[in-house]
Amino acid sequence: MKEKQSLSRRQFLQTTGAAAASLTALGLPVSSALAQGAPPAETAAQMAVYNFGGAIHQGVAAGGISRFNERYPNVVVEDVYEPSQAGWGGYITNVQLRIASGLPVDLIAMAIEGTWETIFQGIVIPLDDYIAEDEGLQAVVSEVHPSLHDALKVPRGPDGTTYYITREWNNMIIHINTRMFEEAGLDYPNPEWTWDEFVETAQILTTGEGEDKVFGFAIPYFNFGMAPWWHTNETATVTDDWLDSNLDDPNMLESLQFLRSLVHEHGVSPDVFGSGMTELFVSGKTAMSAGGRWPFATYIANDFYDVDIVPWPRNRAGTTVFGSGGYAITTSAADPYLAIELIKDMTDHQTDVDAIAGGTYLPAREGSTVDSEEFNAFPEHAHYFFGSLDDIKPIPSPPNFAEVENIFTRNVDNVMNDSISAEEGLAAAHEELTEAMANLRERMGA
Amino acid sequence: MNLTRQPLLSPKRSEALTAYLFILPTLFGFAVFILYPIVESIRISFMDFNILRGSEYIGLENYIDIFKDKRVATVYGNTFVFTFFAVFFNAGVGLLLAVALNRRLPNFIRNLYRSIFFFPLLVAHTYIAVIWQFLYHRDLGVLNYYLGIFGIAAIPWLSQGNWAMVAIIIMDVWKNTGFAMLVFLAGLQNIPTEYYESAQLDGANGRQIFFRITLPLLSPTIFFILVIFMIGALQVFDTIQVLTRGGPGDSTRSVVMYIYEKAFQRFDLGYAAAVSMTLFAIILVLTLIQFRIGRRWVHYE
Repeated sequence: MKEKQSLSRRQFLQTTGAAAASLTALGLPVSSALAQGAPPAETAAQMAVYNFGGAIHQGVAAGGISRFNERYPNVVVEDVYEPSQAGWGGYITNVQLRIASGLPVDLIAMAIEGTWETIFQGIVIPLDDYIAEDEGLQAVVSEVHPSLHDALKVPRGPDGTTYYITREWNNMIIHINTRMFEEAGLDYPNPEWTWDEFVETAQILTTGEGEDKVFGFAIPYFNFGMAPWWHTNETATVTDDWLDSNLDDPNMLESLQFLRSLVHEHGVSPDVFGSGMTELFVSGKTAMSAGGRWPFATYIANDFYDVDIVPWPRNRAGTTVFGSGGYAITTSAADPYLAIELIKDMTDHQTDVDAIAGGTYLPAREGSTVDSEEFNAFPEHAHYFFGSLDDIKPIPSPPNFAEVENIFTRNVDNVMNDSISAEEGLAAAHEELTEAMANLRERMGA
Repeated sequence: MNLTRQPLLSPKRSEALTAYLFILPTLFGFAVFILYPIVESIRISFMDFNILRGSEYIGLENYIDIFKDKRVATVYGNTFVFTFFAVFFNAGVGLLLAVALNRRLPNFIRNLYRSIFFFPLLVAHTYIAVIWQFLYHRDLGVLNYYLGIFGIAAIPWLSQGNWAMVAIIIMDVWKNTGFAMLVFLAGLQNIPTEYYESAQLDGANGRQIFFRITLPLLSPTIFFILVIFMIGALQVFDTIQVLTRGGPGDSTRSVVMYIYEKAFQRFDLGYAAAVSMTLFAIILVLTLIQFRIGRRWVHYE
């Protein structure tokens, strides 16, 4: 009978703590001293991964865990899934509750919207030292596009600290109904089309009355979905450091006025309240929609293949938005080295292939995706997904992301239903957001 | 010398002990799942609470902040409006349906209608919301399409605050009135037929029978429905969350949605607990008032 070789958390901390103290006293860098490589294959342990997403995510992750178990047959991995109904705030709270109640959480998967908050709350550990000493992990990171990798660092950018190994991403791109374009005599749009050209196209595609009514474009009425309208006008809801309101920027006002005009002046978009853009697009009520790759799972499930993608129309810039997500090791992980081995299997090439087949998200590593026949088969211009990485910005995700989203959407609601002007809506939102961001900076000691 | 052993407990005490043992499991459940969370919520409401970093007592600060928070008044206003209309229409429509079904009908027809009216209660909010969102859509919805046939302009069901509240109440009544109907039907069937026969012999008409016999004898059931629907409506969350998410703006946000937002989106558990304590107090007071007033109009015989 094999003896259990896993360390308890206390043993691990005592051992590494004592080692680190000794080595520091000797003037040696801790990172190199901690290098121990992958734990032996006979390691026995219990691990838990806290994960988000639906059945497709769960299936893809199960494949990675299964490959990990081929290497570590004595490690039992529990994949704790949360469908994120409560939003990222609820998700983080549940992780905290699980850690606080003593239940194991070795890895957490998190989207960019919650990464800074988990770092700020001290739930996850920095990974730079582990990456520096592990060639396998370096290989995983090196294949991730720098924009995606740097977005999850704190502070954001190449000089920041890495806490997350990027697993996935999604952008916002225009989805078009190719059949409706053909019927309207429209060619595939110029990839560098402008806001004005977009409106002209949407006007041509807006047809019919009553039950035959079709609108040109379904506005993606949610924080992430609206962000490209700000980015293509060189603005955003918060400042570049994500720590103050930017809603008094004149470009922001121009963007919101444009968005409102799609419904209330040009009449090319239906009311934004009620049915979601994907439902309207799939049911043929709109000729254009928007999203990343995630709606494609719905398109495929509904045998709806008259879809192609086009880059976002530009005003001052061609910048779109992305959101990404990855795995981090928690402060309660019993053995971070074992957790790293699990991350490697849950972000390997087979995981990317499985994710592509699922049709929900884009794998973080372009290499395993762009040449895939399955990926390029549908939509026709699939290369624009990764092509957008050349001019892209992350969705602003300060630690109080949910609060920012709530303040902005709540005030913009009254602009989009034409109760108040864009100026009034943004002024009210700016006042509220300025106070919220001041509170955040105080909370962070910034 | 008396050799008879004296029992350890008197019969009265023994009986009481048996009774306590019988209610012990329920008492345990009540203590763990109801009493403890209430006490803990009260404690948290006086704290700046953080699960991992530790918390500190801040006295009445959270309660003082409630009075400075304009959104609290808004969400309470929304909740009271929803509660008044949802309770009124759920109970009213449920009573009308029950009276309509409480007559000589073939069993098949009666069961069919009962099932139809009760069915919405069995469907999850998440599913029905997708359908209702399609029905309510201002530009592409079925309701406005049919209203348009009669020359009625498109109603902004979900995009204007007042209409959004109307839309929520309609969906809530559609979903929940079947439960009220079922309870009223059970109440109606418990009214002895002799009363009706005597009234008919005395020449009472349908209206007199309904107001002089049916309603008074149904008053305990009506009271029960009003109390439980009021408590449920004051705690409304999912009906609104799935249909409007509290929007547009804050126009349909309920108190519980606000508590949820503060606790799980802004991580301000102390403030959320303080707001929940105010709701707890309001529900308690309103329920006591209902019981007090109920003494005047509820007849148990």
